[in-house]
Amino acid sequence: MIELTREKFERVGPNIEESQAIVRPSMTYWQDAWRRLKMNKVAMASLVFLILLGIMAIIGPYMLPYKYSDQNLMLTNRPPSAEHWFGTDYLGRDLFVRTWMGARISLTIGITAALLDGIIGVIYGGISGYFGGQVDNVMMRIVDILYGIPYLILVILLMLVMGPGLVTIITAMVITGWVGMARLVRGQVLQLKEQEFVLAAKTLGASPGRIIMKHLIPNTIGPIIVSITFDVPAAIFTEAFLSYIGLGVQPPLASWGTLANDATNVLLLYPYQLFFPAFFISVTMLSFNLLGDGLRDALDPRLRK
Amino acid sequence: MSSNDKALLEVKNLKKYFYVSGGVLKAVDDVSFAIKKGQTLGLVGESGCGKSTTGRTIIGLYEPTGGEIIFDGEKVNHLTYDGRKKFARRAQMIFQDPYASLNPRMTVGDIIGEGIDIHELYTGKERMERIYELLDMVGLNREHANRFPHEFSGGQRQRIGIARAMAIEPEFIIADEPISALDVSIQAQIVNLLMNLQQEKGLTYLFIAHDLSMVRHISDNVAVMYLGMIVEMTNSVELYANPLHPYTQALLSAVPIPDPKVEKKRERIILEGDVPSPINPPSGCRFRTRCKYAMDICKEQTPSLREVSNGHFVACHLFS
Amino acid sequence: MGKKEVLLEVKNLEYSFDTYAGEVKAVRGVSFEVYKGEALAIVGESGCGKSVTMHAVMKLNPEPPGRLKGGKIIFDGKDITNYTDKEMQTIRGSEIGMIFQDPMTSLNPTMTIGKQIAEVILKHQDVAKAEAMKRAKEMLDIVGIPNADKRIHQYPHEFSGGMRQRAMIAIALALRPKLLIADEPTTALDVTIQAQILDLMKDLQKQFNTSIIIITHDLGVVADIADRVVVMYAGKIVERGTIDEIFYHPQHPYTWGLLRSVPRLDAKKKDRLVPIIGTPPDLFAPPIGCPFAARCDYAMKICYEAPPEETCESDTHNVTCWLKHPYAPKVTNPFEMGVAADE
Repeated sequence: MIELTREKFERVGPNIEESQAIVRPSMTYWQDAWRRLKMNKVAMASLVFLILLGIMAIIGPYMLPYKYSDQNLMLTNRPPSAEHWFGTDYLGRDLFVRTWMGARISLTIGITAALLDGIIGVIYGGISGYFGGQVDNVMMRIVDILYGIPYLILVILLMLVMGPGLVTIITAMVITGWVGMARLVRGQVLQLKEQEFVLAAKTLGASPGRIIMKHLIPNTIGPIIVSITFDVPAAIFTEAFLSYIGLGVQPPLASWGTLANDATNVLLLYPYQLFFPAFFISVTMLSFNLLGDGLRDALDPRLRK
Repeated sequence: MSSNDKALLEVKNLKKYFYVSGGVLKAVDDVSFAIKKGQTLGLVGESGCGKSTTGRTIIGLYEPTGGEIIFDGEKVNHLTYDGRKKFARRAQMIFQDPYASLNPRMTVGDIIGEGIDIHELYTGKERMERIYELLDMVGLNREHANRFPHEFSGGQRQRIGIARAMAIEPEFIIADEPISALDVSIQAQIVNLLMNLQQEKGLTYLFIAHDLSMVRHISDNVAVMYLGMIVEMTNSVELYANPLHPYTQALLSAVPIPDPKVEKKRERIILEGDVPSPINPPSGCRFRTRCKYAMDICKEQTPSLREVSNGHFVACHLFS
Repeated sequence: MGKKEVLLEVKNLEYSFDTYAGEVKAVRGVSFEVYKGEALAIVGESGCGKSVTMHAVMKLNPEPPGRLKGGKIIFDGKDITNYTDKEMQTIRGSEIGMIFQDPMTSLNPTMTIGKQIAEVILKHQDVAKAEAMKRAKEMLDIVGIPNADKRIHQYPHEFSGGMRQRAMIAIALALRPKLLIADEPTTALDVTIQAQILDLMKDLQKQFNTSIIIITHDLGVVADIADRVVVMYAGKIVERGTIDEIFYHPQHPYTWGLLRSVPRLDAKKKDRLVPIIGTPPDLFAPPIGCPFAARCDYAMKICYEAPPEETCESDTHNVTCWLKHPYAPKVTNPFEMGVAADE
């Protein structure tokens, strides 16, 4: 207890500095989002899995002394063993090496396609939403038309023109894939551009480029990241699907889709061959989706307190 | 108050219509006023009366449908991009919502410095010095420059908004309801800050508000708007001592007085009903549907704003 | 007033929110009571804990992060401190009605107004649907919504702001609750509509003999409607008393500041406003002494070191300020010599 003496009652007046001081630790948007994401166990587990997957995609093919294209017709369709950890396929190729080579291809396609979708969609949607009116009308009608093109027909046409391969698959996915992002960004921008901080920037004389880059995009970045996170598994799945029906990467290159395709041919005799590609496709997709959910919660400003 | 008798801002027959699905929304319909250098015009009205639209049209956020805006002798409506940028250095705006008017992803320093960056006034160390100076000017600490808007209280955020507008040293500021989202005790802080700045820098204000209480303290003249039109305009002493338009009287009477004895004795003028929709507003005088003095002529003719005594303008058939 | 019966008693309420940075002590030992048939105003700046207090009473704060740390809440003789959400539901709506600042967010946009009123009645009383709708229509009449027959079939978006607040009042009072809690009921409304709603609340209070707790930051509203006033600052009560005591004999420097910062339209000349300087403290790390010290013109050394105790001015008037201590220097109360006459 404080002793009450007369001198304690000397008048000292207010202390404005103290009243204005901010006592809470400063936390940027990203620090706050990371803190929130860390609390989400499922999303963190997914993130760890995806990081491990990425590392394995880089080093996995070198962990065994085989190349993904090395055939050994003496050792076809072997079950997993000390020499061949995931076994071999019908041409005697090591499945462990091929699985990680496949991961490399699948992840590359998934991430590249999602990023390209993101970049094109953000620029297109940002411009359409910011300028609005007639510009928006025309730009969005183009989006509608692209949206209406049957995806498979486009892929097959591109295959004919460009020949099958990685670039073709990615091009095919990006040509139609960015429209989703464009719509998302446009919607966000339409909302944001009426906000007073955007009006304030306009009043200060800011150019449209500055407003889009400094004010609109940074405030849309949360939903953009979430959307890209959801786009990656979609692209991986599409690639797997195309490869499975034979429109994907060509042998001897492997992706999870072609591995699954190869495995189904011998499914009745060696069912375990399907296990690895199928397992990685599903767990990767699940992880990306769970991480996306976690990111959505972490980046949502409405949950910020 | 000011020796300079020239109007810095002159608004002539300003109209701003929005074409909406239900018809034409005449947000601002034939509004004229002038503000002399160094003075403040208070623009008062309830939601939907067009006061904010008036402010935004003057500053160039909206293109006027008709009429003229003359700033320091030059027409400033329909400017090119470069013309607008030049005009921006002289006329600035303070916004209503202390939460929505600051970009949540920018530090306070960058928010205040935005005008400096756009107009390339200072760079590097000088820029930071200027930002600190502005923080001091609005009563915040230097340490606040690295913080983000969500860390501040409403009153502090509004100070940041004022510092942002002041950064490029404008002559004219439109304050669009800068205090209506704040606590009463903080409102007085902001009004006093604006008045101090006005005295120091010789600023001219258009101060927009939704009630008549705080406006009185900062304004030289007050204009009352109802559904897109000015119904009464005079100096701030006359308006409070001798309100003529029935709507102004009701607005004055509606503000509660912080004195229980007075408040209990007081006969309030309670307006019936709500403000009609500005899409297809009532014919003639737009206030007639809520006016207890409404006459036949009010339905037929829109009263024009006319001078009834020296410098006291009213748009009401009771005074013609 | 006659004999006073206590309807709601809040004893030493403590309420905190757990945030990333740590505990925010939003309410720090608040005690007050509400008598039957009276209107109590809880006044303070945003963030002072006035809303949190009433939401804690109604168990409307999200938990977590919210957490009741201590204290007792006694409503109509029942200790409701540890009531579960389910038990609270029997009280909310039927015995305590509540209206909020923004009627648009508290009304269900996909349901007609009539159904929303009827729903409250049906939830708590065993009556037929048609009977509930009939009473819903009566309630709309009572709260002054014209064409009630037609209006009960309309949706909230077809109502104007003032009409929505009237509809909220109709819902809150449909079951004639003993207590109506109004959380900033007029802040989002235009002044002319604010006047209508305040008048309506006063009328209904007389008509139904309901107790009202009105939470506001506007002393004008308080003067209009309240019988007693509780002034809150930084999660604590700094002064409480009858309306006359608070407006004509205020004792706490914070109350003086609040009273002085409100412009008076009835004043003959326009004075310069006298604001309260500075910003309220962040309750994440409340000051150890009096929370108002840093903004107080009369602050003494002791104010920064220890919190003051509550002292009695009269049976109904309590102040929590070191100036009341016998050692404190005598300060002239700016309100005892006529309202702000010294300016």
